[in-house]
Amino acid sequence: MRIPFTLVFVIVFCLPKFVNAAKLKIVDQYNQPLANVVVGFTHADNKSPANYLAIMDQVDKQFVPHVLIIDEGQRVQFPNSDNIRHHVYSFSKAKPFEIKLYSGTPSNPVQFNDSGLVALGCNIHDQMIGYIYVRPTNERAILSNQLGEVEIPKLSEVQIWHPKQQGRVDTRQRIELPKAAWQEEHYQITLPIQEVMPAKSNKFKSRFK
Amino acid sequence: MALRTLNHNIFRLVGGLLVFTTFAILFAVWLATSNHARQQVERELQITQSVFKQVISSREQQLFNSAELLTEDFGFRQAVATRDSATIMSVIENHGQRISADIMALITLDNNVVASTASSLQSAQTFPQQQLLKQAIQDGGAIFFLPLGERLYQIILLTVDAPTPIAVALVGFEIDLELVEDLKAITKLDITVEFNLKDEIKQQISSLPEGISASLSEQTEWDYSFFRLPFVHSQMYASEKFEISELDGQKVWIILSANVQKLFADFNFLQFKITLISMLSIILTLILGAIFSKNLTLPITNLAIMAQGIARGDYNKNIQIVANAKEINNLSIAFKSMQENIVSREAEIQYQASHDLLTRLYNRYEIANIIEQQLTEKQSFVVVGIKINDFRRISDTFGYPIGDACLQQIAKRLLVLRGQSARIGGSELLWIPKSTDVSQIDIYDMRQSLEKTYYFENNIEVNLKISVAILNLPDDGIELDTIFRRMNLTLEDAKSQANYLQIYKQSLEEKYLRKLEILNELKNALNGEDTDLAMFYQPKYHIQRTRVEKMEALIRWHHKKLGFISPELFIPLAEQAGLINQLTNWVIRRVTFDISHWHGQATDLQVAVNLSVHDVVNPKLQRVILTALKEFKVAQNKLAFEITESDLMDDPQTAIEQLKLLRSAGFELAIDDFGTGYSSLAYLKSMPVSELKVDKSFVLNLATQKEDQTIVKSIFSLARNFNLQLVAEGVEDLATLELLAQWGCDWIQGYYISKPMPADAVSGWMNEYSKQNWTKKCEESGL
Repeated sequence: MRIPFTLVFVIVFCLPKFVNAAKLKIVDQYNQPLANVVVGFTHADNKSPANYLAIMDQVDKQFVPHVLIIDEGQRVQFPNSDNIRHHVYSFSKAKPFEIKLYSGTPSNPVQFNDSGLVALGCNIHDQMIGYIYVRPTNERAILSNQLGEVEIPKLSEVQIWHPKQQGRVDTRQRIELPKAAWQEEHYQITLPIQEVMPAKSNKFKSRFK
Repeated sequence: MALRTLNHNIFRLVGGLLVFTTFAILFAVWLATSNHARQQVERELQITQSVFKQVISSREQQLFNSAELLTEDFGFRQAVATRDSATIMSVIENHGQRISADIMALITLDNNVVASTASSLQSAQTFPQQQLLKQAIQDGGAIFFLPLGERLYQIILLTVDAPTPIAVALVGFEIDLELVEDLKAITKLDITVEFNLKDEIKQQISSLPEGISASLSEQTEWDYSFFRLPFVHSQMYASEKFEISELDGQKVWIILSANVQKLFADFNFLQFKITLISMLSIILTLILGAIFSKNLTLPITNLAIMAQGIARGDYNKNIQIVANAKEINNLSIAFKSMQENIVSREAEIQYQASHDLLTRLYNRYEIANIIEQQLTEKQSFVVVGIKINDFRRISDTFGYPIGDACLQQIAKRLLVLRGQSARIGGSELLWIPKSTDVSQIDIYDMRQSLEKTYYFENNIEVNLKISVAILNLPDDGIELDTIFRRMNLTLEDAKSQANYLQIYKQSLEEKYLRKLEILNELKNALNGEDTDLAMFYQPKYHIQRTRVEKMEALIRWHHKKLGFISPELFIPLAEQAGLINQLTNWVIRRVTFDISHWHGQATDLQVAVNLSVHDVVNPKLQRVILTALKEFKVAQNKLAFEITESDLMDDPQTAIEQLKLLRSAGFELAIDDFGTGYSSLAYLKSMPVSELKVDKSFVLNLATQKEDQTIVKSIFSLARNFNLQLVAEGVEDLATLELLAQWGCDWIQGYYISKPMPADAVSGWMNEYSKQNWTKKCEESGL
């Protein structure tokens, strides 16, 4: 019952329209639209950080949403919608924490005081991976929708990040946007992603001939 | 080439075949086992290779799994996430011990070694295998062989996920001897792991002693020579080398080694067993073969001994060969019958050798043996020689079958007589009476018995006369040659005796020897220039023409030592000895020569030469005559010839043919000694003669003997009928002459006219007496 509500909430509050905005479309190397791309850009409006409780739900042994963008100092609640227990943890520099085996909603939400990327895992379910991007105060960050689109002001550069991006998973990529880019309806960026998400066991290539 | 025994041959064949077969089998077995061993080694190596790979693979998986469990350990991840190197160091040591890892290290995602338990991989170093690290980060893990220091490790790289990779954990397990021994326990083969370090120096970890494993590296191809002795293997191990890993030129090989020695030991034992069995079977078969061939050939050998016995003439040995083969048995039977046949045939041969086949009497050789035997026994005994008179006439008259049958009959009769009898020649028999005292009556009985008329088929009756010679042995001879010679001459003499019986006496042999001497001298006389022979001539006086117109040439021989030798003695000898033609030739030449030297009245004389029947049938005679006439320039009509009636009657047909030739050549012919030869009148008719000379036996006493007169008169009338001239010989007185003249005799010859005279006296005598009328002279003298 809560899920739809949460979704509506996120869409309404997290994707404000920008004056003089333009659309940016992010596709993978196969020209497929990429959702869940965190597009960050500097914005000097000094807006005070959100003080509402963000939700990182766990449904069907997955973090929902897959990627969550929050402000510095914002607190996140980790409710467990599954009927099994989870052990949510993070070893990320921005916020290492651990919520030991629990079900239902843990008593204390987790506050993220430092900006940065936080990878979430479940110690019991390896395939459960979620990400929280804690944006600094001078930065706006928008998540691409299912069409791979974000609406942003006509800027000269953006930082993009995707959980499946190639190379190191903990760094964002700086994308320069030429002026010409904004002549069109939307400017398209290609972000190559990993072919297959590795499932560790038996998937490595043996060196043994 | 020396012959081998059958035994040996069979033995060689069987033994040779067996040895050949055995060695062929041995060779085949050897090949098969060697090949099989080789294949087994190959297969074993192949199987082991895949087993080995399987083992390595599962170990890898196992190692990976334990390493993975380690890196997924929350505490480990937590410790790593602290980024505190001391903590990290402690955690890798701690966790490394949990899974007995030989090396543990943590490497950052940007290739810095954060912590390491290995001295060869120090912290703050960069990890040498960047590419693998990248791979590991991308794939979540990697596993490979890596030499570190001088050791070989199986390295597993695993990302430490929190939950995304934050670092890479390195877990290394050393490939050590213990592992190799474990693998050896699984694969049952010796294992050598070989790897090269960066400086190309090869390093080995082996379950084998060092020296052997080092050599294996060089010689991984096994030498599968077929032609190596099965018991000798210089190489102890068969190996299979294969590469299992390569990393930047650093290679790892595995050498699997099978102990061939042990494997071949089994095959060698098998080969040894088969060889042993083969050798035993060869020996056994050879022994059995030897026994078998011995059994087979023993009867043959015995038969050969028997055959040699038979060859030596030992026929009495009983052939009792026990043969175990039908063929040998048949051979034995054949030998037996051969032995019997030889015995009977030899008996037959012996009989034939000692007997006369026609008469079944002993033959000459056997009777000689018997005589010799009796002589050695110092007995005195009588030997009776029997000869059938004129046996040839019987054969001529009745044919040879009757002649033979006649001999057989005589033999039968002779066999009835007590004693031993033999046939020693054509019609000569010999009888040794049982009794040593042979009387005249015994001989008479014998003669009676043998001379009894013989009857044959077709009513043929044969009457014969035998001559009998008696020798008293040993008085009349002790040597066989002498005995038979004396037997012969006694028989010869008996033939001319009235009672056809002669008992040997010394004089007979002397006569015989004299004959031989005469014959010998005659030869000399004929061949020598200076001869004792001489021709004498006796005139023939023609009564009506009262003159001597012809003469008869008579041979005379007055030998220096032997004295006067009568022609009646030496002419038959010459005939017997085949000298008569030579003698006649001499006579003809001599007479022709004498004629050519005569003169006066004598030149008209016609001289008659006596011819023997041998001369008459001599085809060369006419040429001899003509040659002589030509040589001495004597006219053909100066020669005439006389042939005795008895000679003519021996073979009248041939004689007549030959005489006709002489007659047609123009010579006058006379029949001499007419009246003694039983002339057939039929022949007389066809005789090409012009004269008939009455035998002097009728003439000598003609004047006093009435019988002679009758005979002579009949001869005369006969001759007249045939229109023949008549000559009377042996006229010695006038009375005879007158009688003859009265009866119409044409010619007179005899002492009344003249004795035979030598050639040189003829001319003188002729001048004086040729024209003398002997009838008148008688009258004158009577007056």
